[in-house]
Amino acid sequence: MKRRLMTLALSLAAVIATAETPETALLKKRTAEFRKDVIQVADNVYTATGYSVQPVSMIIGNDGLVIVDTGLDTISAQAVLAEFRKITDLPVKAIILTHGHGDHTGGLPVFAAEGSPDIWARDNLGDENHAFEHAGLTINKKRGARQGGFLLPPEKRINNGVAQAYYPKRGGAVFSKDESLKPTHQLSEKRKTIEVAGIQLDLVAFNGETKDALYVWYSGKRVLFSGDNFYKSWPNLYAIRGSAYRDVQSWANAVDQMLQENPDKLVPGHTRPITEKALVIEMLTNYRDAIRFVFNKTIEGMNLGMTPDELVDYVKLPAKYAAKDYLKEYYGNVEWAVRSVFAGTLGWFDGNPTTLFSLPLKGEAERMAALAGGKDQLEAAAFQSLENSDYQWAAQLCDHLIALDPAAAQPKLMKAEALEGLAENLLTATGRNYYLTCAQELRKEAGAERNVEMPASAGDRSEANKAAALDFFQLILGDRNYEAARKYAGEYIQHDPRIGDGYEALVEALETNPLWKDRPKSTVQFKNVAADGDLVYLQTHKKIKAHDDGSPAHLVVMHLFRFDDEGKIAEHWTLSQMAKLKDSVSKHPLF
Amino acid sequence: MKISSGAISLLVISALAAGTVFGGTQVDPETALTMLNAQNRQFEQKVVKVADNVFVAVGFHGANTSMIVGDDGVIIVDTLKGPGSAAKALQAFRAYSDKPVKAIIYTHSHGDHIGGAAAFMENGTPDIYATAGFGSAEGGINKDVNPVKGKRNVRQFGRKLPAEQQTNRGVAPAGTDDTDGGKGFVAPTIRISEDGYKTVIAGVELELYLSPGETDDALFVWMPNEKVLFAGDNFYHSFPNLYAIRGTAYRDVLNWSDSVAKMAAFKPQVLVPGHTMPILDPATAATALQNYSDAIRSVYDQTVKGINAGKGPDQIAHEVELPAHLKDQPYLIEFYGTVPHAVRAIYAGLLGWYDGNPTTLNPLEPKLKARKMADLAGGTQQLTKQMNAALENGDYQWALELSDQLKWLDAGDRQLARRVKIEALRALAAREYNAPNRNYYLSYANELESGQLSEVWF
Repeated sequence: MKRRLMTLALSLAAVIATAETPETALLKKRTAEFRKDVIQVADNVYTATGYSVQPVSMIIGNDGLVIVDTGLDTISAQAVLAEFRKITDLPVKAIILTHGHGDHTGGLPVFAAEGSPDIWARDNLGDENHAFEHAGLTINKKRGARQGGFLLPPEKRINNGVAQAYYPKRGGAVFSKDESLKPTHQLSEKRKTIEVAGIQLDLVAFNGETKDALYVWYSGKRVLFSGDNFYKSWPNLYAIRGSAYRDVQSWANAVDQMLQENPDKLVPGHTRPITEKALVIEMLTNYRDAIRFVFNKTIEGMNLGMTPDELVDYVKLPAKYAAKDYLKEYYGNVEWAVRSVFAGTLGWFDGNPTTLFSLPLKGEAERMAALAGGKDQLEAAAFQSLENSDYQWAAQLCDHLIALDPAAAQPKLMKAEALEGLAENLLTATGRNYYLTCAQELRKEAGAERNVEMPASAGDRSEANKAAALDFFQLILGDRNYEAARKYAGEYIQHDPRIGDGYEALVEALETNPLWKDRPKSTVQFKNVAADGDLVYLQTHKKIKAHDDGSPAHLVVMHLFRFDDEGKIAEHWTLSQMAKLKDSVSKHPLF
Repeated sequence: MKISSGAISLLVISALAAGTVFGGTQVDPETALTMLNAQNRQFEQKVVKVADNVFVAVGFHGANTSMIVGDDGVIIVDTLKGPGSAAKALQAFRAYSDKPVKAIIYTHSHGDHIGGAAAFMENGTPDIYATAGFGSAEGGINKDVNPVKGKRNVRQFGRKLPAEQQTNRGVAPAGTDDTDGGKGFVAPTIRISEDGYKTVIAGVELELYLSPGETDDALFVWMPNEKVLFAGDNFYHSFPNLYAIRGTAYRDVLNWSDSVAKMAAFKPQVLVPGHTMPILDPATAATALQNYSDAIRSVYDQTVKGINAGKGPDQIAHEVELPAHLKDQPYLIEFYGTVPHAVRAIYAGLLGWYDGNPTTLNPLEPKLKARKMADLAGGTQQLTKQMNAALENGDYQWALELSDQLKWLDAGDRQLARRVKIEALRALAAREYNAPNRNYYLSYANELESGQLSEVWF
C-alpha cells in the first residue's frame, strides 16, 4: 500500500519537468533585453528595440530623418515607423545600412517609402551572400536555419542570444539577399563625412563580422552606431552556420577604432543601447581586449604545437571578462572562435600526422565496435552514456552506430536525446538551436514524429483536442497559470485518488499539496501524444532519482483525457511507470 | 627529356590493382619508391632550350629559373631561392648568351622564386616586374604563427631527414641548399595591376596576366611570338597543392582553376612550369593546361555537391575522385597535392572548421575521450592490446588513433604508445608516394624518437 501511494505521488510529479539548467535560466532571463521600447538615446536620437530582431534608430535633423538599419522585415519595420511617427512627421532623408545581413536590411522598403532618401552602404554590400553564391553553396541556408532555430516550435526556441525568437512571415531566409536592397550611395573610402538634414555623420568602414561593415559616428551628439561589430554578448567570431574566415584581428581593431571616437552613447547592432558614458567605454574596452586575448592566447598555443582540440582547453576567457554579462556566450562561443583562428590561419590540418588521413566513417565505426567487443556492446555503451547524462560521449558513439547501420531508427533516436541533453546545458543560443533542430531532424528520419503525423478523419476533433491537451498541461503544470488553463476545464471528473472532482479542486491540490506547491515553473516534456476523437493520450517523461536507492531513474506517466463536444476536459485518468534502466533487459530506450 | 607519359600511369594502375591501404596515395613500399624515383627525373639538373631564345634551368634549386634572350639583353623569369644556386644557374645560362640582364619577372612571391635575384644583378639594375599585390603570397596570414608554420614546413619538405629517408619534395628535389635562402631578394620596381600588361624588353614582346591561384599575387608570362607560356606555380607535374599541410590560409581553388583555364586559352607551343620539366609538345601543352583546370574544377564541384548534400569533410574526402580520363595523366599524379586534402581545404575555406554535425560542436577534451575509449575497450590493458594488434595487422591508421588515446592515460604505457606511433608512421611513410605526407610522417616519427616533441607527447 505504501508503495502504491509512492507511485501515485510520483506520477503527478512527473508532469513537472526536470528543473531548468542554469544555462536555460540565464538564456531565458536574457529575453528581457529584447523587450519593446523606444529609447531616447540623445535629444534627437531614438532607438526602437524589440520590434524587430535588431534595434532600428532614427536621428532627427532640421528638415528630415536619418534611419540607421531597418530590421528584419517590413512588418516589424512598420511597427517601428508607427512609433517613430508618434515623435516626428519629418520625411526620411537618408538610410544607412551598417552591413548587408538581411536582419538589418529587410525593413528598407518601409523607410524608403517615407520620402526619397539617400541609401548609404559600403560598395561591397552583401559580400557574404555574394561569396556563397559564387561558391555555389546552398548548405549555408540549411545550417543558418538550424542555428537560428527557425524550424523549432516556440517552446524549444528561447531566443537567439542577441535577438528575440521571431518567425518572419517570409520564412527562414534571414541571411538571404533582399532584391529590393539597392543603395544609392556607396562608401568606398575608409572614412567619409556626410551631411543630411543638417546632421553631420562619419561613416567608417571596418571589417569584422562581415567584410561589408561600417559604423556610424554622430560626433555632434557623441553617439556611435556600431553595427554588428558590437553587441552585448561574446561576439560571433565564428558562425556555426559556416562562413569564410572572419578576420578576428580586424574585428578587435574595429572595436578599438570605435573606442578612439570616445563616444558617450553606444547603439549596438543587436541588444539595447548603452547610454551611460562610463559603461560605454568599459564595454568597448573589455570587448576589444577580450577578443585580442583569445586571439593571442590561441596563437601562443598554436606555436606550442597544440591542436584545436587541445587549444579549446588552453584558451579560457579570464574571469574579469567572462563575468561580464555583455561578454557571456549568448550568441558567440569562445571555443568556436579558437577553432576558427586556427582554421583561418593554418587551414584544416591540426598538425598531428594521425589526422592527415582519416578512416572512412564506416571503417572507423567497425573498429570502434570491435574495440567495444561487438556492435551490441557499442550500442549498450551508447545507451548507458545516455542514462548517465553523458550526452557528448553518447552522441559520439551514436554516430558510429549510425555509420554501421544508416537505416536503423534506434541510434538516431538515441542521438536525438543526447543532442537535447547537450542543448539544455549550453548557453549559446546558436548552438542550442542547432542541437535541437538536428534532434528534430533525426526524430523525423527515424519515423518518430507520430504525434505530428497522427491522421485525423475529417470533421472529428482529434487534432483540436490534442492541441488543447498539450496547451492545458503546459499552462497548468509548467507555467502554473491557472487562469489561462481554466478555459479548457469542463466537468473534470478526476480519477486521481487524492484530487477531488472539478477544476477548482485540481488547482487547490496543486497549490496546497507539499508535493507540488513549490515546484518551479518549467517546460513539460511530452513524449508520445495521440488523439482519437474525444480521447487524448499524453505520455510525459521526467528523470528522477529512485526513491529506494537514489540511482538514476525515469518516470513515465500516461494521461488520458476525455474531451466534451465543446473541446473542454470532461474526464482525466493517470497511469505511471517508474523505471531504473541500468539493469534493463530491453536494449531499447524508453522512447 | 620528358618522362614517357605512360610510365608513371602504369605504376599507379598496378599499385591500385595491388590494393591501396586507405588513402589515395598509399601503395606497396616498393612501388612508392619506384614512383618517387621516377618523379626525380622531373628535376634533374639541366638547362633545357625550349625555343630559339628561351632557356629553362631545372634542378638548380627547388624551382625553375628561365632566361629569355633579346636583342641587347636577357630577361630572367624567377630567380630561385638564394644567390648561390641562382649564380650557378646564371653560369649555365651564360653558355647560351652573355648579354646583360635587362629585366627580372617574379611570377609570385614564394621564397623559392625570388630569393636569388641579386645574383642576376651584378652588372646593372634591371627592372623587376611583379603584380601590384606582390607579397600577399600567404593570403595575409598572420606572421605570429610563423613558429609553428616553420616547424610544419620542415616536416612537409623533410628538411631534417637523414639522407637515407629522403626522396623528394613532390615537385622539387630533396636536399636543396637553403643556407642563403632569401639573401638575394630585391624588391620589385614595377608592379602590375593591369591584366594583360604588354611590354617590349630587349626587343622581346611580353605579356603579363594576373593569375591568382597557389598565391593571390601570381602572374603568368606569355610570349606572343614564340608562343611560350611561363605558368609560375599554378602548373607543375603533379596534382596541385591546393592545400599545403605546413599550414596555409585558404587558397582560392576556383580562382586557381580559372587561372589555369585562362592559360589554356592561349594554346601555348611550350609550357614552362614553376617547378618540374617544361612541356615542349604543343598538343600536350594545351591539353595539359585544360585537363589541369578541369581536374581542379572537378574536385571543387564534387566537394561543393557533397557539402550541399549535408556531408562533412570526413565523408567527402573519401568520395571525391578525379574523373577517369584525368586521374592517370602524368601531370596529375598526387606527388605534391592530394585530392582528399584539397576537399578538406575547400570545406574549411568556404565554411570554416565546423563540419555541420552537432556531435562535433563541442567534442570531448582529449584526455576525457581517452578515458572513455579505455572504458569502452574494457580497460587500459585491453586498449593497449588492441593498439598492438592494429599495428601487427598492418592497420596503421587505427594504430595511430589508439596510440593517441593511450598517451593521455595515466595508467597507460606511454613509451609503448610512442613506439607504436613511430612504427605506424614509418609504415605509412614507406607506402606513401605523396612526398609531403611521406616527409611529414617520417619527420614526425624522428621528432618523437628524439624526444623533441615532449611538449605534446609526454
